[in-house]
Amino acid sequence: MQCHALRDEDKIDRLYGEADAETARKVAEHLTTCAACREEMTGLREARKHLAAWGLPAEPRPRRALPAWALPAAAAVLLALAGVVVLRGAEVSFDEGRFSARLGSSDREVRRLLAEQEARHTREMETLRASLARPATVSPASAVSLGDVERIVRDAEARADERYAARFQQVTDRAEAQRRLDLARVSASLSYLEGRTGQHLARTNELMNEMLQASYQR
Amino acid sequence: MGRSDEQLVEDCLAGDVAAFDVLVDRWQRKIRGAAYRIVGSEEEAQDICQEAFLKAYRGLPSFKREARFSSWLYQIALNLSRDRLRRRKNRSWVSLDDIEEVRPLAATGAHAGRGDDWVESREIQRLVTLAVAALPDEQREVVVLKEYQGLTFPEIAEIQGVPLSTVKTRLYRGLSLLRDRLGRQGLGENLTQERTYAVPRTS
Repeated sequence: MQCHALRDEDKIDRLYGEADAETARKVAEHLTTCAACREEMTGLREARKHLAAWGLPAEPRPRRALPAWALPAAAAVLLALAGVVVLRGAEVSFDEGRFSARLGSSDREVRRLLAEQEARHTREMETLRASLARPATVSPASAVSLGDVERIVRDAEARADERYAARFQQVTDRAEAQRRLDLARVSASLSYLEGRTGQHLARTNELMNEMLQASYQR
Repeated sequence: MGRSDEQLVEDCLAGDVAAFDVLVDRWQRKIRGAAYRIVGSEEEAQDICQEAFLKAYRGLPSFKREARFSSWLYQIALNLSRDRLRRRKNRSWVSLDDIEEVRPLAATGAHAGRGDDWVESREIQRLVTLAVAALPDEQREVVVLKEYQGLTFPEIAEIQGVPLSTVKTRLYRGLSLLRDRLGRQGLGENLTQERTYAVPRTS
């Protein structure tokens, strides 16, 4: 049974807690005596509760904007490279479907450059070895900060492990839940098909009986 | 404390184009969310959102200062959403027949266990989505703006250009329809505990 004692607006104001004092008192008084309105308000509250279940889809990942200097910088680097290639007498050719490039420098020049580079690397490695061989002089402050860093890293790793474990569990749960849902749907469909098969059998039996009766009558 | 929307509008009109970026950052999520719930498509919602900001940017010189910027922006987005829905053959994105065919999920003891909550919440979400989609446009708009956007009744009245009482009546009717439809799908207050499979329709 529908009760029209309250206006729709009053019910909405009450539902969203936005009724003024007078309306709130009027609605509250009416609800103490009217079961139909109480039931209606409960139903509306329930509908609101279910609305909260509808979430938004995941945010599209925003495209990372390049800084304003990136494009000119990239162009400058490309131009510089092209300049170096041209100035050093390099040659790029596409012949008979094959792409080939040749540096303008002679083999001897290339070997000399490589030897210089190797000698430089050897010197740098020796310097590095010597510095590592010296006893480390770590100040107490830096020792503490190193320990702190280690602890922070360990904590972060532990947290990451926990997150991975939780995520894995979540994925497992979802897969399991989906499996259950599929099973339930299959089960429901089978039940439905069984029902249909039963109806067909019953109908066939009925027809057979009618045919037998007709043949007896003959 | 950042600049208010109105201040940002003033700054933008004075030539500070970056001020409009702040407005976009501030409102795009909400506008896209509202559009998505009204038209029911992520891609279309994204288009509507972009188009709404473009229209707003072009229309800034004609923006009347007595209205809130956000209300004006919602108005633009809602108009674009209505255009999209109007252009479709079937004005809403699902028919009532589709709603009737949705079958409630069984929650029998045999299937109870870990993961059932997740499945059930997905199912509820699906039913709610379809039920909201089947509402008349103006009721769906009010439900979305109130329930999901958290706007006040005067704000919604301003956006829809109707009296306050009309907004509340639309919301009341919308919620009543939702209650009835969700109830039929096994999500009513009395049916929540007992859900069974409906026999599928024969074609």
